[in-house]
Amino acid sequence: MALLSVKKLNISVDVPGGEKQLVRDVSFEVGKGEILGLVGASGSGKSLTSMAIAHILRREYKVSAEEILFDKRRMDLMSEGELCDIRGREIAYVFQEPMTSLNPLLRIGRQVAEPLEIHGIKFSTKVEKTEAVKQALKEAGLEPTRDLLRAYPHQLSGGQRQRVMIAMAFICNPSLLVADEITTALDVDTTNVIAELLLERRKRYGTSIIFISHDTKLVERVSDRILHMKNGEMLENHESPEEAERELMAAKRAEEAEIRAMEGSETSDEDTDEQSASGNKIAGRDKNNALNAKKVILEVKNLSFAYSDRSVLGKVTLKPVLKDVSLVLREGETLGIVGKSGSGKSTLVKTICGLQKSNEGEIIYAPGSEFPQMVFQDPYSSLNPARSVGRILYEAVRMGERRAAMKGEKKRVSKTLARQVVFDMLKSVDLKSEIAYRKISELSGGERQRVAIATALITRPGIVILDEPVSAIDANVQEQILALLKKLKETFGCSYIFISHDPEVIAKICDRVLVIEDGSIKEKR
Amino acid sequence: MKYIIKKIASLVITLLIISFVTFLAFAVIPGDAAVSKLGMDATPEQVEELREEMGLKGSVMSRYLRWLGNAARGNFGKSYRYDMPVTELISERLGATVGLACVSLVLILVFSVPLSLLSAAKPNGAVDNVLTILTQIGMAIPQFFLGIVLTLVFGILLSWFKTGSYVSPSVDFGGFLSFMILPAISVAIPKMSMMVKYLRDCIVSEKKNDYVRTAKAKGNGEAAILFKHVLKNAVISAITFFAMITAEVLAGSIVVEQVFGIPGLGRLLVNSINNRDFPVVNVIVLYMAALVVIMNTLADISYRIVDPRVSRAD
Ligand SMILES: Nc1ncnc2c1ncn2[C@@H]1O[C@H](COP(=O)(O)OP(=O)(O)O)[C@@H](O)[C@H]1O
Ligand SMILES: [Mg+2]
Repeated sequence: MALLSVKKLNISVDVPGGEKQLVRDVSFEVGKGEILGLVGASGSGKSLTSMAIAHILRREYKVSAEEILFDKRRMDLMSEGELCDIRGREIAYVFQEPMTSLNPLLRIGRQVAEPLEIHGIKFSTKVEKTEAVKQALKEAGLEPTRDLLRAYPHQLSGGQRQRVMIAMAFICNPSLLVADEITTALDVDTTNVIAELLLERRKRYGTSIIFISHDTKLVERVSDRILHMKNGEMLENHESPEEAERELMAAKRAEEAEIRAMEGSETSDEDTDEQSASGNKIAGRDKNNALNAKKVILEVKNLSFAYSDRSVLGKVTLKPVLKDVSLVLREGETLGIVGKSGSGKSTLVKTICGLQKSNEGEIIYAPGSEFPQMVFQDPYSSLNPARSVGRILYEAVRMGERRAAMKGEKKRVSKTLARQVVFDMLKSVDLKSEIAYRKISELSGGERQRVAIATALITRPGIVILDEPVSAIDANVQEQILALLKKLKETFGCSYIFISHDPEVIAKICDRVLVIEDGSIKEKR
Repeated sequence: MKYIIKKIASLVITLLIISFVTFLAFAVIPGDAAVSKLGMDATPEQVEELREEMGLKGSVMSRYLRWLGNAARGNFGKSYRYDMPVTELISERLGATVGLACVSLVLILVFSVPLSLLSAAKPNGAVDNVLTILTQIGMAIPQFFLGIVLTLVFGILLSWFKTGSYVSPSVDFGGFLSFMILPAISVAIPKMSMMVKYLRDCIVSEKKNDYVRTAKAKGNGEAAILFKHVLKNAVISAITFFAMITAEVLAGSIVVEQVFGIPGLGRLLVNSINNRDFPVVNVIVLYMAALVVIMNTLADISYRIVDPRVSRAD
């Protein structure tokens, strides 16, 4: 008998003027010790479906099901208290957003131990409990040092935080793990290690896993069986992976055609340009030559930076992160910076933006490019989730005016005009104007990233710095966002610095690429 | 540590600037303290003599430096009106104002945290809606009216609390509390309403964060999520707000002091302005400005202590 069986699950929310059905009549089963893959485009309802199992959706979502049977018990009929008992002990979750999924104020050791406390798992001594925490961290591939237990989430990298989440999920030895896009924000190496970790877990403890991802290859490698979701519905069960892939490719092609149609209607000459690939290459090289002649709008000279780390004993050590970095950015170009996680990419851009002071070196802006705007990997942490999109953009307009005033350019547009600017901007990033009234927390990952881009561009900055802007979103949407960024650069005439750990993404969009390794520029391409 | 020293240095500089500006302001506003003390029919010679005695001669800068030198030694000059040192005059009144403020702050803290939690537990639920209306009323109601109604109901009709005259806490602490409770409620209600509304909004937006979903997925109940995870995060975002409220309350409320007959700073300030008693006004203004600056500094320092994300490296 299956460990989990979901029958006719429906999820909806109240929206102004009615009810919106987000998930429709979804049914599926997960066997004991089975790894079930769940794939589908962003916004297809995978997250909502998985969160409905242990009912951890926010109150605004209305969930109903014919039956949710877990380990012979009716989850859909349980009281909140009974559900709390099962959550974290028998059904555990790991989510996509490692950067924001841990409580910023609690030490790692406490957070990992918390499920043990909640579920009354007693230890005779404190040392034993700490041992259990250390064991869990070790099994998740982390060195369980005292420093790690005492660290706060912001002191860890994305990969480390995700491992902490995994340790926390496994600490009570659950029979079902829901892993929702847990590797999407991570680099390839870390992704592979984490996939191995899940397989190992299943082998040793017989844990059932629902593995959600948009990465078909990865899902195939990890899962025993794959289900597809689209527009809130479960597609027919696929017996063979080939069939699954065909289905997905078709969906992808359809989506791409849609994008092309959308762009084509606006700039038809660009379309013909892309069709003649060889001609394009030559044009590209010409462009490169032309670039050398273009005006330099940002120059970074011999930048160095080190974090001062204070150990528990108060000893201060300097940890060099950037070593003698120099670069130039020219008008209208897209400069790629590629490097592994931890190589100093984000520190570099933070320093360029003035969010952080360098120890040494110089940063020179051309007039008009003094205030570079940033787009981050995870818009959730940079945009206030409780604010409406319109409000955020409106504030960005006003913020831009204040910055201009600092330079002595006074101009404050009327409220009506500012609102018009906001709606125009939404249109430029291909979002419907209706989105202006939604909260950030109600948007999908791709939509949020579009809002983040709109926020950065709305003040018409000379330089936009994109720090892993597409790393947390799935492949289909990634393509759309890259296409959008290209289009916006033409329209707004700005320059990009594009950071990524993914050389493939970099190759798609950048005119010139710098490779950063251990804090210094290693090669120029 | 270096950070705290830096903060205190900037605090001192800010206070110096404020003290200079107030000094300057009183130097340029029209009206002559010597004339107002002697009356209109004093001879020019008499006025001149008194000006000399009161230290009104010389350039603004030299007078300011002299004042600053004295102030550094704890001598803020003499009141023109009462012929007694300003410090003595103020310290008497300060006791009443600070006493009232402390009782008010305790009330604000004790009630606003639970009420905001109650309100934010189910946003837009029945409890939240009722509390929203109540806080709106609390913010809108004029303090003098609140004071009068409270005195009437609890002091005179029910006689639960003493209404008579002010008792110093050093003389009779119980009597002081019983006298202070009604004025403290009048001070606390509007501030408490602001605090409840602010904290409630912080909690509601905090609840939308991803870590709250994690907390729920671990098996935490609704209350545990609020108390173990959300509350501290929300309170951090309300620190500065609370510091500003504390500064306002400590500055004293002229209206409440007037209604309840409390010999506090607010009343002294009004009287001193009317009498052109510049040394007194100067020190009270400085006290109020210092409160704001000091509370702000304390707020900044407490961020450092409670929020691990704020770097402690320097
Ligand atoms: N509060 C809400 N109001 C309106 N639409 C919502 C709300 N929350 C989620 N949605 C929509 O539900 C759909 C499914 O979301 P989700 O389950 O997160 O997709 P996935 O995980 O497959 O990417 C998305 O299109 C999203 O925009
Ligand atoms: Mg999702």
